[in-house]
Amino acid sequence: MASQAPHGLTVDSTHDEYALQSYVSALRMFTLQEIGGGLRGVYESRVKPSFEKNKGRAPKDEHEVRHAMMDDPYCRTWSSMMRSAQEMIWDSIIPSIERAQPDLNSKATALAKTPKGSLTLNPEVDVPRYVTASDIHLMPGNYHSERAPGDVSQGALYDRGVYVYAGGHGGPYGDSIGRSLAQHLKIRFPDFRPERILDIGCTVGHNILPFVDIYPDSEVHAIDVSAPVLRYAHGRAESLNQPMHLHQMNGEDMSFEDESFDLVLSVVTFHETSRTAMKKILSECHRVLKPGGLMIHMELPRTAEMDPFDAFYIDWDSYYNNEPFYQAFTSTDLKAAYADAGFSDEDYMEVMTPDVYSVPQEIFGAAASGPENKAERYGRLGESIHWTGWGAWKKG
Amino acid sequence: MTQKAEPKITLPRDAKGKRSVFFDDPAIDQMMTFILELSAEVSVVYDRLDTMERLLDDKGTISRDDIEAYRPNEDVEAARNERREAYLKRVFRMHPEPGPKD
Ligand SMILES: C[S@@+](CC[C@H](N)C(=O)[O-])C[C@H]1O[C@@H](n2cnc3c(N)ncnc32)[C@H](O)[C@@H]1O
Repeated sequence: MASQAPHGLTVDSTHDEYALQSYVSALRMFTLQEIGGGLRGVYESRVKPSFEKNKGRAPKDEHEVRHAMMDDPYCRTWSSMMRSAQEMIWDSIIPSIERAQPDLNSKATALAKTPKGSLTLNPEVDVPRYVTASDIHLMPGNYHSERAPGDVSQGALYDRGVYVYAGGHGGPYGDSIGRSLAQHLKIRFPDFRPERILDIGCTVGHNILPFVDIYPDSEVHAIDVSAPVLRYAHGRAESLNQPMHLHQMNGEDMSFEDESFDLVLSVVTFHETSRTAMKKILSECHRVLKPGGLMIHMELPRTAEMDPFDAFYIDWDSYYNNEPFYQAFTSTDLKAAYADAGFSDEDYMEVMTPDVYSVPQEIFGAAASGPENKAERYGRLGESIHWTGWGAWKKG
Repeated sequence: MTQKAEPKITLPRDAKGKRSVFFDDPAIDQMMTFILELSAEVSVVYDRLDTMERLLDDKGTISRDDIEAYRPNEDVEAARNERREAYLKRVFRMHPEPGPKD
């Protein structure tokens, strides 16, 4: 595993913890790519033919593919390895955070003493049930749990966990999606110079931080419902000297003024919220956007355009990796949802960008300015893929 | 101690939510976890041994502190990654995919 870039709240690991994290990362990648790479062959050569023999037709949707695949020993083995490897990610990190405490919380408090940005917590904000009901992607304690005043533990766990998960492919700062998006927008819309930017569901700020860097004249705000990750995000941003304004707020009901942002975005937040919440968040995005402003949500690919096997593969996490909203999200018609929120069909736009760390600059630039950029391969974070986003301009 | 010790923070180990069962006998799911965890222990021991060998090559004699303080540089990590991949291939050798069931 490559090295994660250090910052003011980095948690030290022992020699053996480091070795364990490196191995767990390799184990997950191996399971995903090497063993997972055999799934399609198993489906085509064995699962689909026997389904066809029994039913006299091919599986008609991802659910039928899933039921048939989950009966197959190869797919069961792959699934159980994916599941255990995911659990091992968090397990390989938790002891180091416990050891770093309570100093880690004190460090975060100290970094918040003389900030260039700001942190506004609001204990009145209720953490929605879709966040508290189950620990998303199996991270024990999820984003919101705290065990001491000023606790940042869950932020530290997420920061290191995502790095181990992606095997460092998210870049040293874990910002590959945000950096790709910011760079893409800058090339594609050279005249678009957002003064105020808002990120919804920022967690520890991985993907909004590059906007501070790439749009240096803008004022960057980010919200989340969970206090521990916001405290961590604040300390991290301050220590990296890339200050931003963090608020504990629910995207469904924001306290920002009407028409106060030029760019409103989110990165992989929607697939962790209910569909009802998504509708409310979209209306709020429309309300807080200035006329002529841009809303954009970076997310998982849409399964409607996929064959049933690919849809099964993408949505596996929904059923076996504690991602209860994944499948509902990937099958939502976003264009229609945006129209409901007040955006016009003709103002709808899509982003399909190669990963900024994985391709040479010319190729990245050509994709951003080219008339058409198609994803060659869909996948999860950590696979070599294109990042996808769905957006809309608000009428000027 | 004059300083007032702050309370220790302990974090939960298990994720909230139902644990998936993939095999007809859930004991096999349990065994898969044991096997993966064991595979991790072997890899960690190997890295530790590798650290000792590298330090001994460099210095001739080492202490525990030397081992604890050691972090692989990029080249060493690349070599270890290569070793881990070969190890994963050996340990998690999937049976060849059979053809259609009849
Ligand atoms: C997968 S994380 C997002 C990752 C983050 N955007 C990044 O780039 O690293 C989802 C986050 O959304 C937050 N969240 C969920 N529902 C929310 C809501 N209604 N309003 C604000 N934040 C929300 C969660 O607390 C969690 O931190």
